[in-house]
Amino acid sequence: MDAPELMPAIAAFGCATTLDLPTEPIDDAAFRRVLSRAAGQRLVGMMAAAVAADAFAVTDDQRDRLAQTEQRWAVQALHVEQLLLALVDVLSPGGIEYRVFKGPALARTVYPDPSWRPFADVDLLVRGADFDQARSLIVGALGAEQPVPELRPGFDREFGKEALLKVDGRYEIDLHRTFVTGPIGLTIPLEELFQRGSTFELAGRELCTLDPLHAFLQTCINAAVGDFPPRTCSLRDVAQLAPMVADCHDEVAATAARWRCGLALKRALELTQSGLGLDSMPTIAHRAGAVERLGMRSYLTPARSYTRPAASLLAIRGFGPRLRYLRAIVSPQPAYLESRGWSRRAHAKRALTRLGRR
Amino acid sequence: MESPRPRQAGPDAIGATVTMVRNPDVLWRHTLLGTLVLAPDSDVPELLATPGDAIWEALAQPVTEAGLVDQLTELFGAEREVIATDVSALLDELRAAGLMIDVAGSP
Repeated sequence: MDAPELMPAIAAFGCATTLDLPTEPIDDAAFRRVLSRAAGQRLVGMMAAAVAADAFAVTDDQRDRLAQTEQRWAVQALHVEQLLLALVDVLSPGGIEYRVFKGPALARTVYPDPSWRPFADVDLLVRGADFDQARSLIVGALGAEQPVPELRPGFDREFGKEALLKVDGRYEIDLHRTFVTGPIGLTIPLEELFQRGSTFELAGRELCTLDPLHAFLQTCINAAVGDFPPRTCSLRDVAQLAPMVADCHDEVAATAARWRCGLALKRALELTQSGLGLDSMPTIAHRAGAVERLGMRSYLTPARSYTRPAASLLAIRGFGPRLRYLRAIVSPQPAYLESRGWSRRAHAKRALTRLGRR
Repeated sequence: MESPRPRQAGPDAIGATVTMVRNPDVLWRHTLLGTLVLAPDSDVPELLATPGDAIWEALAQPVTEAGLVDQLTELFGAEREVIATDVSALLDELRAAGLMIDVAGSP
């Protein structure tokens, strides 16, 4: 059994799955490959849980190696949680409402133990209207830096998915306006995410996170169109959240239709069931319109860096906003290009080459 | 914190009625090696290595030192005096590191 083959079985540990973990220790070279891949897929916590439960047979040396890797991820998670608390201390007095989501929230809300779900950064959602102020507060109070400037001034708060901020050069804060780039991210009625929410406790403090239904749709969008191929851990996130919306499938379907992410939802559920060998996953009825189908296709082409923005134009309402979006995509500010090491000409050539490959 | 230093004080010399609990502001994680804890003002997580992490588990609820020793004696099946010495030393370290707080004093 090689590393890629084992990832789904590790990710499905504790679920009703058809996939098997090794009942005899694999050889050391193979184990090192598995461990390395599991780290990349954010599965070290689940792998450790499986080993601790004697569901994954290992030698003593392999267990030690896994324990050291798990320890590094756990240290990172604690530091990231410490940063998260500092972030909340900065944003809350400024009256900025936020939603913690992805790893730091999921680890504490949907997994049997936080150690199962490692993470390396903070993902925090704020309103577009608060985006610039939130970024300024974080930069000012925590000394964060934004290595890649926004495409053009004002782009992030109006159209952007997120701004990546780095603290001490080591810890990353993904300050989000929406969940994903492209048409889905631009269609989600973002105010809905602040009209309801949930909380979780971290070090004696109550932090705000997404409502479970919104968290479920976010994990589905992430699994379906976030990474290619999707991280196996993202599929497990979907599997963990699915039971939390089991009694409200009609509302899930209605919300997905409103967000025009029904196809992403369907794809995520199919990928999760087949990828993790699960006995069953919910099926949610959805009829997609032409615009949604086109939008979904824009995420799945090799030239998605360019087809997504093109499809985004269909999701943006109004001539003025479309023009501002197009201008930012076609002609980013020099500071953006410089941070990416691109010239204006290279940017245009790259775009044309990728689109040509499509 | 992996190797608590031995301390001379035995079970009779300790404040048996002082109730202690984890500092709720501490961040922590279970790992294969034990429990990793990060105090609010610290940058460096400490490992409460197995089986010492059993003390951390027991401190989830307010408990006296004597009660803690009782729990761990039953859990590990070791001599009470040996457990008491180790517990006392580790509690000192947890308290000094801000990982544990006293919630009620001796009546």
